[in-house]
Amino acid sequence: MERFKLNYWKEVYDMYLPGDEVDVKTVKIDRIAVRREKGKTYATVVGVVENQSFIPLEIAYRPKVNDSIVGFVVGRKSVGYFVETGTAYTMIALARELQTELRIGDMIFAKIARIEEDGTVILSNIRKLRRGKILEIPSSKVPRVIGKEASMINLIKKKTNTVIYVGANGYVYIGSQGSVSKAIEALNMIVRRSHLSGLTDTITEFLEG
Amino acid sequence: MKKEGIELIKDGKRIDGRDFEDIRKPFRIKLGVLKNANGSAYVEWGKNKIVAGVFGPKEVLPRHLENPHKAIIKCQYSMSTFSSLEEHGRAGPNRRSIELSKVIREALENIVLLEHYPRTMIEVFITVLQAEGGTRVASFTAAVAALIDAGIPMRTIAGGIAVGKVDGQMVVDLGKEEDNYGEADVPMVFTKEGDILLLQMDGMLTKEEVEFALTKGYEKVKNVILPELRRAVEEKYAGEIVKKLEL
Amino acid sequence: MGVDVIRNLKRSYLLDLLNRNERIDGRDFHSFREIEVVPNVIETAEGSALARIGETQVLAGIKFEVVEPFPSDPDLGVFITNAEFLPLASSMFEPGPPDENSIEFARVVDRGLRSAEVVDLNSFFIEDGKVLGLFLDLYVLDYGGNLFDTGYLAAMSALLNTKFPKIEDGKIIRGEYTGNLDIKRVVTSTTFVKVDRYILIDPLLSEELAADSRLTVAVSDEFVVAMQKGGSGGFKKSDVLKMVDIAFDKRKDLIKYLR
Repeated sequence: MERFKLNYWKEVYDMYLPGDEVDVKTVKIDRIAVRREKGKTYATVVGVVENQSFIPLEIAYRPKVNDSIVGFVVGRKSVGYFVETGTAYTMIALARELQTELRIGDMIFAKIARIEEDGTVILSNIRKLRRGKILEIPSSKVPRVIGKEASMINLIKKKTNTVIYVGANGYVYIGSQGSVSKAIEALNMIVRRSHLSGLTDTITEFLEG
Repeated sequence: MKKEGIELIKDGKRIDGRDFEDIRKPFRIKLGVLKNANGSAYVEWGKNKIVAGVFGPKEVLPRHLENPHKAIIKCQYSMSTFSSLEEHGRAGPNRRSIELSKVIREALENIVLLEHYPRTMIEVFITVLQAEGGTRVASFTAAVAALIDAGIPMRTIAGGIAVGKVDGQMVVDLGKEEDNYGEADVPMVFTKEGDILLLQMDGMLTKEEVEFALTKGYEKVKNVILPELRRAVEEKYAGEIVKKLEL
Repeated sequence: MGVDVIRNLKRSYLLDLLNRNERIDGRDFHSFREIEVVPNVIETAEGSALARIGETQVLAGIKFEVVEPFPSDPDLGVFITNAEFLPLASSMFEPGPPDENSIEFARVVDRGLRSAEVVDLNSFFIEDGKVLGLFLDLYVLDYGGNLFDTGYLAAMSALLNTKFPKIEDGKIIRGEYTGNLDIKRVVTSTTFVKVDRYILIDPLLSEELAADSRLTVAVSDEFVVAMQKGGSGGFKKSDVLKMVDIAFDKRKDLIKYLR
C-alpha cells in the first residue's frame, strides 16, 4: 500500500501507524513510541521518520528523569508539597530543596529528579512562579513549542513581552504581564499546525501582524 | 428471529440493494472531533453515527483498582435515547450496554501497551448517537481511532466487522432488518495481523459457515476497515487540526 | 483534587487581565465566541440539531411517544426535557445518573421553552387518555463553558426542524409524518458571569469556574421568559437590568442561527 506523505517541517515524510514496521536507530520524545520484537522495530503511535529517527506526532505523557515540569501546589505533607501537573502521577516538591515556603495555589517550574518505585515523582530545582495562567497543550507538541535551541518560545516571548515556562507535561505557564492573549493564540496555532511545514514563518507573521 | 413476509434477499441483491459482500455506505472515520477529550473519533457507518472519547492516562479512581504493573482501561458504551427510529429509549446503562462495554474493553486490552503506564487509568467512552445494527464493531473501531488520536501506544491496530446469514445466504456487514430478521450474526474484531480480539455469535450456523464468517471478516477488516482508519489518520494531519464534530 | 484551589488561582489571574480590559481568549466583554448550528443531523429522531459555541458542543434530539396525560391536564400533551452530560465531554464529568448540574441545565432550558409556549400542547391531544409526549434530550458532547446558551440554540433549532408524526388508531406510525411541528415562538438565551465588578457574556469554562456568579436570561419577542442565577455571589438590580437589555440585543444575532 502506498503511504501517505506528510509535509512535515521542510521535507515530505512517510507516515506510520501503530504496528507498522519502521527502520530507525533513535526515537524522539519517548522511546516507547516504538517497540522491538524478533529483531524488528514497530511504531506504537502515529509518527514520521527523519534521519533514521522516529518522531511521534502524538504520544501520551510519561514522566522521565530530567523533564521540566510546570504545575501548581495543591497540598502539603511533612516531606514536601504535592504538585498537580495534569498527569496521572503524584509529583512531590521536597521541602528541603526549597529556599522559601510555598503556599497552596502557587505555580512552580521544576525538574524531575527521580521516580520512586511506587511511581511517585520527586521534583528538584524548584522555582516559584508569579501570578499567571497555565495553558494545557498536548505534551507531544512541547518540542515544537520550544523549537530548535528554544528559537520558537524565545520568539513568542520577545514579540509578546510575556514570561513563559513550558513543562514537558504539557502545562505552559504564562505570566500575566504582556500581550497574554496574543501569546496564547500563538501557542494554540503551534498546537494546530505543529505537523505542517512553514510553522516558524506562520508564527512570525502572526506575531508581527 | 425470522419474520414472515420480509424478503431479505431478492434477485441476488440484499434488501438495501447491496451485493452479498458489500459494506454499507457511507463508511468513514474522522479523528479529533471533540475539543476536551485527550483523543476522540467519529464513525459513520451506514446509518450508525458513533462518537468515542478517550481520557488519560490519569489517576485511578477508586484507588484500590490501581495496578502497580500496568494501566487499567475503563470502557463505557452507551446509546442515545433517540438512536432508534422506534420508541424513545431509556437513558443510562442496561444489561446489553454493560456486556458490550466489557467485550470492547477486553479487545482493547489486547492491543494497548498498558505496561508503559503503570498505576494509571485510560478511559474510553463511546456513545451511539444513531443506530442501525452492528454498533458494537463500529464502536470498537471508533475507540481504536480515538486511542490513536490520544497518542496511546498500541501494539498494532484493529477493526471490527459483522458477518451473518440472511435468507440462507452468508452476507457481510448486516443492516438493521438483516440484524433483526436474519438467521445468524457474528460480530468480530481482528488485528491487522489477523488475531481475533472480539467474537460473538447468535443464530444457527454450520462449521463451514463459521469458517466463512471468520475468513471473510478478516478479509474485510484488512481490505476495507483498516485502510479507512489509515486514511482518517492521514486526513487529520493533512492540514491544520480543527476539532469539530460534523454529523 | 482541589477545585477551590484552581478557582482562586484562575480568579486572580483573570482579574489581572480584566483590569487591563482583556479576556483570556482575546474577546471583548460582550461578544460571543464562534457559533454554529446544524439542524437535522439524526435521522432516527423526529427533530435534531447540533449547536456549537466555541469549545462547547450540544446535540439535541426529539422523539415523540404516545403517553397518558397528566391527570390535572387530561387534554394537554406532555413536554419533557432531559440532559445527559456525557463523560466524553469533559474530564470533570463522571459516568452515572444525572447530577444536580445536568438537572439544572435541563430544567432551565425547559422553563424558557415552556414559558414562551413554544409548542402548543393542545395540538398533542389524540383521544381520551392518550396524548403525544415530546421528549427533548440534550446531549453534552464537549464542555467548554456556557452550556445554557448552547443548549437553547440546539433545542430551538431541533424544535424548528421537527416533523410531526403520523398517528393511526392511537399509535405513532414511525417514519411517516403529517408535516412540521408548529412553533409559536423562538427563544434565545444569553449567559453572563460576574467576576469582581466585571460582567462578561458567553463565559469560557475557566471564566465560569472563576466567576462569583452567573445569570442566564432567556428572551422571546419582547418578553423575558426564563432567568437562572448560579453561584454564590450577588448581583445589583442595575446589573440585572443591564443584562436583560443585552439579552434582547444579542437575540438579534442569535436568531440568525435558527433560520
